[in-house]
Amino acid sequence: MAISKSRRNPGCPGSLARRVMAGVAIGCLCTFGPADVSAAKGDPAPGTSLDLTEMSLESLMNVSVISASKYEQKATEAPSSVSVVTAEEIRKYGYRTLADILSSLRSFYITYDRNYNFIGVRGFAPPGDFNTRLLLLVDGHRINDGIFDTATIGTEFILDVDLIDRVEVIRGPSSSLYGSNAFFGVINVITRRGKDLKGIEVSGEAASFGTFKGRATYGNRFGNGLEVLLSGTAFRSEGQNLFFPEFNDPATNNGIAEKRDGDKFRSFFSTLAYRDFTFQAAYISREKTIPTGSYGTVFNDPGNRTVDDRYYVDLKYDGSIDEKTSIAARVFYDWYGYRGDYVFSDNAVNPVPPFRFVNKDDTRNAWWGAEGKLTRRMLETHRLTVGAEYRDYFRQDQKNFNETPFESRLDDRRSTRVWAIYLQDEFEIAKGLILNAGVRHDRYSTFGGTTNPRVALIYNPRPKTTLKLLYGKAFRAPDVFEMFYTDGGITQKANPALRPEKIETVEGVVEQSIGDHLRLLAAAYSNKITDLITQETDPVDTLLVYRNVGPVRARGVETGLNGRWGNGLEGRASYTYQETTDGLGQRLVNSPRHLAKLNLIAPLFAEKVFAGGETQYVGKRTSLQGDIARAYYVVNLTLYGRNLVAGLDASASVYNLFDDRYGDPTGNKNPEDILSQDGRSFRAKLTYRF
Amino acid sequence: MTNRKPTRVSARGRAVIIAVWIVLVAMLISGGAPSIARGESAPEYTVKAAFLYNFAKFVEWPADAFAGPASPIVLFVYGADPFGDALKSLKGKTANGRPVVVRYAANLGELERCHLLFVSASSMALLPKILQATKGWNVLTVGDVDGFARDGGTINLVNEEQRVVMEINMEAAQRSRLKISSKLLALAKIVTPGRR
Repeated sequence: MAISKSRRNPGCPGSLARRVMAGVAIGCLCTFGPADVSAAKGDPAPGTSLDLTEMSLESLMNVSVISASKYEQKATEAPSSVSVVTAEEIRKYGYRTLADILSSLRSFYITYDRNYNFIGVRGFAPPGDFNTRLLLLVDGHRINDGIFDTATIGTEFILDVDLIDRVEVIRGPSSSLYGSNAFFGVINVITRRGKDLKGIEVSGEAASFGTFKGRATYGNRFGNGLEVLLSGTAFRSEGQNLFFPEFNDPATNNGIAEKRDGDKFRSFFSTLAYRDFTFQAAYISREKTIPTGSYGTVFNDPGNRTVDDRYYVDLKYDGSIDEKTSIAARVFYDWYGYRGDYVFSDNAVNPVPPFRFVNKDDTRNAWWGAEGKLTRRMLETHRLTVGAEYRDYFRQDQKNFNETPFESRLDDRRSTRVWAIYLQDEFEIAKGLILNAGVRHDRYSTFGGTTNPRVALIYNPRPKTTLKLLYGKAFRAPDVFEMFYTDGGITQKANPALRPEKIETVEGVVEQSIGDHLRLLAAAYSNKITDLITQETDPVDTLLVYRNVGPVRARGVETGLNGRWGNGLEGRASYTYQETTDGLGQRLVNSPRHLAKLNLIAPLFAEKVFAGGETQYVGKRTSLQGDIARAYYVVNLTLYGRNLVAGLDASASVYNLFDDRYGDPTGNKNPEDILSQDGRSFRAKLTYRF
Repeated sequence: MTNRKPTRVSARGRAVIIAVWIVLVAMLISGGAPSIARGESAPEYTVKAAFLYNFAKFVEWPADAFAGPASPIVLFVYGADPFGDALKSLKGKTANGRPVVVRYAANLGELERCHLLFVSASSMALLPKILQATKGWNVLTVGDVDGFARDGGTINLVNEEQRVVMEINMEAAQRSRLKISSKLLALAKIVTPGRR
């Protein structure tokens, strides 16, 4: 609507800056060094041509180590294209949330509706989707809940980003290993370990819009082998006073939502490791006020808010029987609670002016599960993995009611179970040629079974060249929100007949190291999605409802260039072209054709002070109403100083430096078809270790 | 009302950002041009495997620690194996004319006479017993847990600021009659057993 169109301003930052960026990109092409994306133990990708054993001791002592934890093995085995973001990058680019991190990656883009962040990947970010098509793991523990299936990436993500050791993103279908949600890919977050800290770390930050965050962390590894990490974080943001042209009327405060963008959370995270056992406990409670008048709620009412609570405890064992056989197993208990307060005005419900009443969502989800995996090297050329998994979602309760006068609209109680078995073999057919084949069968108590295979060939014709060819299928089970949620006809109705959605992918990847430090990647993919679960508005009763639609075709080409130099200089650049269309050949909503990213870290002073800069270009997108959200271009800059005085790190960041007021196409629930996003903002941060 | 500000970026703002990028690119080109070998990054245990290989090269064992002049240098990994495939890089390598052989032990019974012994973090609680069992073996014990060298191990590989540094306990080396090359000693931190 109005927002997007008025933004098509000829004087906007684009042209000149874009030319400069093109220059930068060319500069990078000529000079970059390699970032080691294939960085994990057991990684079959021989892209790491470097033989460390031939290095001198002095050089060896200058190699920066990427700490290895057990679960990455599964992740990097993925015969697909992988991106890795390290803790150092998180500091140097000033990333505040997992959404910030993902937004910098090839083929990813993020949409924000001022309540939750949504991931777009490979041309796919339909409004009304709650990040259900990516599997999010923390140290191998599944974060997607059992109601909405959501991969939480905003302030509601259970882990403070400061506690991330690295994030590995594996693109392509991975249901053959992970089951549901591993549809477009897997995001594996690996946490920092006690021995990385060796003491106490405190951190404080202040940012625009009255935003403050504080964190205290203790970590250590003791002589007896016990390793501990304990951390707590508190975050609070007042938010902005926002103007929404859609509500520009004296009756709705002239379209201004005053102090209605607040956000706060408290989180706790702990890991205890002893010998082959690791115990983890994590908790977050996050409350967000909603300024957008979503779902037809009363605009600028302070009562519109959501609270998301999440915790889990997880015990895992990772050991080996002999030098050829390793065993991993885990048991876990998870909780997810969501409460939503939505303020409406209706004289049929409350006859007293201003007819205000609160409609509440109360969702409670508890589950436990167990998994086991055995990996064995056989005949020198095979690595066989067999595994099984069980999850029991014994509580999936969704309630919706009006508070006063009380009226129950929904009281839906469910419990579902799923078990799965899988098998994968990595077969070194000949030197430099690896076949990776796997299959997994999942059986749901709701809709029955689904079997998903994946086959990949990884070929290294030369030490510096890797070719990958991948074929795979993946699925996502309809979640109980999509199937059973209704608020009794206010906004949404149920559809228990939903079937799982399915994807079939063919993908080719070429990775080429150029010189000693440069790594070039090109990938092309073709996805066919059937029975896609999409939120639609039923024209008969104008209620939102989830339906299986399709088919959807997505094709795209991605190119990326990564580099890292010894003096601290590093960066990555990528460009993605994607075509995502529905059965009628229409481009999908919120699916840009072009994405371009450029990230650079430059050392400024003696390996102590670094400048991190990034730019993200997202091409124009269509909104639900058929309007155009114009292309945008965001630049973020961070100055980071390490160990400035003993133990003290400091950083200063500016986000959206050009103050580009772009808008995101948001979901059915918002009256704003295209929702204006944050302009320029700042953050200062101090971290002290002792 | 932040949202009502115009979209446009001031000319000065644009100039600043462009200047910053030009500086960055210039640094990229000038800093990046000479291909410096240092500052690679690699998985932790790939690096540590390379350290182990260097120890095989820069430590001198007494002649009677080997059966013959071409007998292998035997490396044992004790406890949960953190290396994965990383030790594969040692396959076919020789150090001072001797092949390097990698073997694994999950308990004391499986441990045999060897030249290098990597004690994995999972087995740290057993360190005194392991040291007891290997007494008089001419074995170089290597670990990667805080205090390993102080607690009687010979070389500790410690992570510091994302780099691996070495701590050496000279008493332990002498007890096993090992001669550590001065080149290696010059790069290591010498620690005294028992002192914190």
